[in-house]
Amino acid sequence: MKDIQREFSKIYDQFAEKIYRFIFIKVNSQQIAEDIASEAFLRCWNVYKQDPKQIENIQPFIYKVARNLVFDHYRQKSRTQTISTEDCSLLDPVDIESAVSQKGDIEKVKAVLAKLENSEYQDMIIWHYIEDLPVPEIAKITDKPEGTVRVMIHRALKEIKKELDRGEA
Amino acid sequence: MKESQLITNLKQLKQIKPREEWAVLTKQNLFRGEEVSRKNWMGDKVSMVLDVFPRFLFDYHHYKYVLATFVFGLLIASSTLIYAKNALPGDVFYTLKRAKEKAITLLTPDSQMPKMQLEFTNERLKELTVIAESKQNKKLSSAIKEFQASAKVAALNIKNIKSMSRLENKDIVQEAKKIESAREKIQALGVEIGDTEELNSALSELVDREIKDLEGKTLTEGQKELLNQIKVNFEEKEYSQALENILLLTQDEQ
Repeated sequence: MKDIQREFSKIYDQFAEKIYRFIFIKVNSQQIAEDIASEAFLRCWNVYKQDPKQIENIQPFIYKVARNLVFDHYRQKSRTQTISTEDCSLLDPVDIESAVSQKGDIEKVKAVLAKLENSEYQDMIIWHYIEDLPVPEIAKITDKPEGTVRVMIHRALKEIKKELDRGEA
Repeated sequence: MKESQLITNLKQLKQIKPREEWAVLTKQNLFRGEEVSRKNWMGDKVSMVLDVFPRFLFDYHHYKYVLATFVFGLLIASSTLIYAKNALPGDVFYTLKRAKEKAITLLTPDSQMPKMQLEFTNERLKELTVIAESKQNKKLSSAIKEFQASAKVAALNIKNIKSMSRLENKDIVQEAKKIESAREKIQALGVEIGDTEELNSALSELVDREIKDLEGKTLTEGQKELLNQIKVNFEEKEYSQALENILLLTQDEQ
C-alpha cells in the first residue's frame, strides 16, 4: 500500500498545479478551484488505490475527472462571469507602463477565456497553449481525432481574438 | 490584438498557481484515511509481512538468494540487538537500544503506557547503577540526563491516567517500588540523580485520586484502618507504599 501511496504522491506532485490551473481558469474562483481540484484528486486516488493498472494513462484520466467535476459545478450553479485578479502572479517587466498595459492584456485574455461559451474550446486553449500539451495528448483526453482537435484549437483561438477585438472596439 | 500576442498572453496564464498550503494539505488529506493507527499494530505487522514476502519468496528465480540474504540479515540484527541490550549512554549501540524502546512504545496500547514508561525509567536507573559501580564517570552526566528525561515522560503518562484497573495499579506499584529501591542504591553509591519532582508529583496525584475514590465507597473496619494508613503514607510522601496499600485494600474488596 505504501508503494502505491508513494507512486500516487508523485502523480499528485506532477499534476496538482496543472489541474488547479485548469479548473481555476474555467471557474475563476480560488476557493471553488481548490474544492474541485481536491475532489478530483480524491476520486483519482480512490480509483488508483484499487488497482493502478485500471488507469492506462494518468494524464487524460485526471483531466477528464477534473473536467466532469467542473461540468457538475456548472450544473449546480449558474455561471457568473467575474473577472478576478487573484492568483495571477505576473513577472515584473522593466518599465511600469508596459507592466500595466501587459497586465491589462493578460487579464482581458483571462476574462475572455473564462467567458467562452464553448467549454470544449476553453479546454483546448488551456491544454494546448497554457499546459503545452501536444495535439495527440489532447486527442486522448477528449477521445477525439487529432484532426478535430487541431481544428478546434484554431477555432477557439479565433473566437478569443474576436471577443478581444470586440471589447477593444 | 495579433494572434502571436494573444498566444504570448495565453502562455502567461501559466503563472496561475495554487496556494502552497492548499497543495500540501490536500496531499495530506488524501492519504490520511490510509494511515493505520498505532493501536492497530497487529494489522500493521501482518500487512507488512504479507506485503513483503509474497513478492520476494515466490519469485522462483531469486528466492534462494533472497532467503539467504534474509537469514544473514536476521543473524546480524539479532547479534546487534544482543549487544544493544547492555549498551550504556555514550556507547555505540545505545542509540539502537533507545530506538528499540521507541518502537515498543509505538506498539503499546495506551492503557499500558504508564507501566511501560516506568519500566524504561527503571532501565535508566539500572544503567546509572552500572556506570556508578564501574566508576565510568564520563558517562554519568548523560546517564543522569537520560534518567531525568525518562522520569518526566513517565510522570506525564501517570498524570494522564483517568482510571486504573487493579492489574494496572499492580504494575505501577511494582515499577514504582523498583524505582525507589534503585534510587536509594544509587544515592548510597554517592551519585546525585537530581530532582524527580515531576514523577513524585504525578504519583502524588494518582494516590490522591485513589484516596478520594475509596472515601466514596463503603468499607469494612479493616479497610477503613488501611485507608487511614494510606493517608499517612500520602502525607509522608511514601507514594509507592501508599499505592501498595491501595492494592491490598482493593484486593480485599473482591
